[in-house]
Amino acid sequence: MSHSKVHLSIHSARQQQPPAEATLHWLPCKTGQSCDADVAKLFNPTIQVLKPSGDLQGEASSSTQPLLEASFRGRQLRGQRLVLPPGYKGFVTTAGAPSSSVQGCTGGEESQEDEDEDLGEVEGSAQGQRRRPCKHWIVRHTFDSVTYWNHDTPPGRSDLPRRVFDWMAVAKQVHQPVSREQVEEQMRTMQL
Amino acid sequence: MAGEACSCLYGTRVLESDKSEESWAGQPCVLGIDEAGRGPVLGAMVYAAAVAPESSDLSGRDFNDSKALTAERRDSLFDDISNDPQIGYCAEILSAQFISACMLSRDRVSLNLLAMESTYKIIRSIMDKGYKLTKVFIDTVGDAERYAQRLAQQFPSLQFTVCPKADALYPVVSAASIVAKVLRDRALESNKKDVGVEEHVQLGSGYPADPHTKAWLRSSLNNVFGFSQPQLVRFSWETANKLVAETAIDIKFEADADEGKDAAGSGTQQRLSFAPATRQGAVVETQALGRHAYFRARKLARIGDSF
Repeated sequence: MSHSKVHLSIHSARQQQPPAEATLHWLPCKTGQSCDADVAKLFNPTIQVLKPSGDLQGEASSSTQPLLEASFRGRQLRGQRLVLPPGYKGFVTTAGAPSSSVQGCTGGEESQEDEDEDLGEVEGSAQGQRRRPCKHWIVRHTFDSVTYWNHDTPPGRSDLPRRVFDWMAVAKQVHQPVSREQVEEQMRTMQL
Repeated sequence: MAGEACSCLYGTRVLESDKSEESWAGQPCVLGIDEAGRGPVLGAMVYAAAVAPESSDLSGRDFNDSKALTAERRDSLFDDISNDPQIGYCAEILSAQFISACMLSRDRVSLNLLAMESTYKIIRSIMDKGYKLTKVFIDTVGDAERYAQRLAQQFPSLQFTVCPKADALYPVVSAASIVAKVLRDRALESNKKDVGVEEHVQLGSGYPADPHTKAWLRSSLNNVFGFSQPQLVRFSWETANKLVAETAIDIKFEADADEGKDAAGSGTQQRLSFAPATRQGAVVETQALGRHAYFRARKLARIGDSF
């Protein structure tokens, strides 16, 4: 398993202003194409509030986001807005050219320097992995929430987008270093 | 009734002319049911019921054969019915959006089922209002006998007469026919305004064979949303579906793949996946191969391995 660096440009020389906040809708469909869409005119007006507060049964933290309905290509969509947990930020990016002129990137050549210490926590990285050139992403928009939509079915706990957000909320805890004392304490309580 | 009150862009809407407080409502009453706008690819479908005392004679009122009447004459008769203390009505407007949503849902609700449910709803509404219903007359397409049986099962206290051309045979059905047609036309006009179609623009009758309608559909195609006034269109109609498939960007719904059918319900198997042709356009989930099932289930890929 190799690991690579990604360079994220939030301000690049070519962009005039800092990236704007975007409203994202995560639809229950796929397309291979990318193009402009008049969301404000042709999607937003179809959005209705089904239920003002979206408390889902069994959820520990009650969601105050309303349950929504909308219509897309005649399909009934039902969805809810998911807010990114603290410490997270969303970026909509496009690929930039990986070049050595971008700070920190190898520009396609292997470098003997710069161990990827920050990527280490997930990998358990081994020495001698083949290094890829650094990727360069340019941030076009930022976001703090996503509204996701199901085809017909109301939003539920097992929905994929919700499970992704669940992971984000616990990821930090999972990666938090644990001391020997904490392990011993936990084992003591389990034995009781 | 003002045009705006007939607007139904989303879901369904029930409209009534309630005469249940009149003394005749407690006496035996008859109900006539008819629909309008079943066939068109644009706008709402309306199911309407007209209720009148069993003893009344509506045959002289010229409600008959509503298809032969001009729009103006129909409008005038509709006003007569609304103002007549001896005739009540109850109608449900089913928006194009609602029809599309039901027919394209995972349950694939058929138009016939929608028709039946709407019929049940308005009969129930009339009964709940307190009219003493005895007989119901319904115009039908398809198997009249079977439909009559189902209705009798739902409403054992009522006597049903189901037959084609009932709107020509029974004046109370003709009255319902007029209510349905007028509400359908007004709903379409109202929707037209709501979605910003200019008044001079011709939608035609809304039937798929109508050249005005065909021309309008073609002129309002939209790359992403199918049509630039999507709330007017029944996407479940083959006409609309075909146009969208031919001209708009290719969009595949996961729900369709689960069904194994395409939107028009022809039963052909549909493959959902896009072949990840190049690294650039690769679908993210393939990148998750080799990772723990927890991440694969959530389609989470390592950031550096993506794109």
